[in-house]
Amino acid sequence: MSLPDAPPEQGMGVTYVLVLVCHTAMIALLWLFGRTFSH
Amino acid sequence: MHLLDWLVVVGYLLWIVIDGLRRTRGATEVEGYFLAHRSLPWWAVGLSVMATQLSAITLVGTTGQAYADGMRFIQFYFGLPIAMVLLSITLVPFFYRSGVYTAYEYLERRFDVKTRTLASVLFLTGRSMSTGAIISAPAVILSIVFHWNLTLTILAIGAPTIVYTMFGGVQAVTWTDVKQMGLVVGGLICAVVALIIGLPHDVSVYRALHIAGAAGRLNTIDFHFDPRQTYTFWSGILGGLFLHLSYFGCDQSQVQRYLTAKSLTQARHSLLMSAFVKIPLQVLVLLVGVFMFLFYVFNPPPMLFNAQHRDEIERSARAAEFHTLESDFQRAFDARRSAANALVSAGDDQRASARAAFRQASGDMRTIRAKASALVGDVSGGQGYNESTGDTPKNDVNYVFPTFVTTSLPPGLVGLVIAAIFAAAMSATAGELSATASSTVIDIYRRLIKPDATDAHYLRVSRMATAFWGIVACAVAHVAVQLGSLIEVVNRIGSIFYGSLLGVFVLALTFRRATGTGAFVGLLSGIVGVVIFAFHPATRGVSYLWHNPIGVGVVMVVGVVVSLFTAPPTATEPNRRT
Repeated sequence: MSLPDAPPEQGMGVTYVLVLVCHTAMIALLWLFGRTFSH
Repeated sequence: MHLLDWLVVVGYLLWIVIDGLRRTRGATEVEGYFLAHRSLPWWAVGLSVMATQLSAITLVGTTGQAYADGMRFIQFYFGLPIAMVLLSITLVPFFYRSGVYTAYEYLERRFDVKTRTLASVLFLTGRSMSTGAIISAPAVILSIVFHWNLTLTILAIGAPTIVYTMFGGVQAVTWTDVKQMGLVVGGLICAVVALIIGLPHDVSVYRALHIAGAAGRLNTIDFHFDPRQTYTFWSGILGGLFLHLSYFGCDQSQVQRYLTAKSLTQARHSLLMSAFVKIPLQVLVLLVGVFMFLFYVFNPPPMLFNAQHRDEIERSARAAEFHTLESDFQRAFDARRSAANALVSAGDDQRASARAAFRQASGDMRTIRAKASALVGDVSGGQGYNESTGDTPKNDVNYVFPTFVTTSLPPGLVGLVIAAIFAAAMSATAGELSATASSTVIDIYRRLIKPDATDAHYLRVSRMATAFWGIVACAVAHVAVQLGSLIEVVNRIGSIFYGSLLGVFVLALTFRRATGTGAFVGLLSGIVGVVIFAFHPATRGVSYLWHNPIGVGVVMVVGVVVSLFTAPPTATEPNRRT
């Protein structure tokens, strides 16, 4: 079986977007945290 | 160690073995033993995924790294959540729906038996070595800090783990992982609370963090692109992405975890749990290191944390030189503490000069510590030094956390944190033992040596394989201590396999025309390509995180070219069942 044969995703799309949004927010928070106390 | 601490540590060891053995009931068939009949809830599997990744090396080494170097190590994990999403979309459904026991079983269904066997042998070689390192690193540190016998310390970590993994299988591994993760997180939180309480009464956490920031301990993100630096935003998000794709997608020690989930959705959720929780957890680990730095800003630290190094110098002809350095270190500490107090009470207009004075005082202490480390190297004499401890002056920071725990925490809490270090080592080891046993039995023994035996026979062999790999891990741990720098070589070799293994899976999923010969030649070429890249003088300095994308690239290019020149797969071939 190769990738085009795989059945389409169902119901996980929102979770994936949430993971990426939270990850971006976490990186932004870490950057802000470092910047606040290092400068 | 106080009697109460002994009771906590021994109580933990007994509790975890008894709890693991209670799971033996579910391990009466091979499927139950290696896959828990695919019955586990996502949260237990998710905690097991994290417990397998978080070893005592992370707990002790990373806190020490944050103490000395700050929080920039966090960037290493920036590719992890993206990797988890990509794996949940691609490899996880393929593994789960095809009903395989191991990741490499899928390679035979897609390609052929030789590709599967090669991948399995690479995994077994790398993992048997690294499991030894997982046990030896904390054993060496604990044996030095507490003056314990090293062999007995290795056995105290290895023997209980072998017993509950051998009899309870993956169910025992998962449910003990859940409890061990709780203990590790509890130990870390207790350490942070104790460190905050240990700050002077007139220094708030907010002010203390400004001190850590002035010393460069809170530099979290570095956007400069430098392939020679391991911890930058770009190496984390790109190199780390490929590393975590390889680790969670192609390493049986992780694939086996999520194959035990109740359903495909639960398997995905177990991986995505790490995507949400791993970075905050790692921040907690690094904050322990940062707060230890702050603790030792206001309380005198030893110049060298490894007591064995101090003892060696005391017995040498250069003891007087060491005592002079200690006096200088004490004066530099007093100056730094005064500078820290000045920084705490500085107004807005004085803050810049107070920060500069604090940085200068910190630099002076660092310089004296470097001189002391060089003295250790001189006294111990290079090779002889490594043979005795497996240690180098550079990793003196690995002793910071155990030193703080044993000298500054109250009785009871010391036992709890030591039990947490044991738990981290045991949970990572158990996951590796179950995975190496599953690949040995399913990919090698049942496929190539004895294909037609009964399930009861395979279950017996599985238990023997678990015990065998456990004994190998303890033996490697003992040898690794003697050879010291070999651990680094083993880790470097592991990073050479990883990218190429991922390349084979990417080839399988993205290139329909790929053949078994193309995959096999591609895999070998990827390994050779990365070896050349890792050891060639022109590219030797490039961080190992970049080895993974290079391995994937070589496997893909060679795999595609060789596949185009070899016979395409036909529908009638028996090994192509999917």
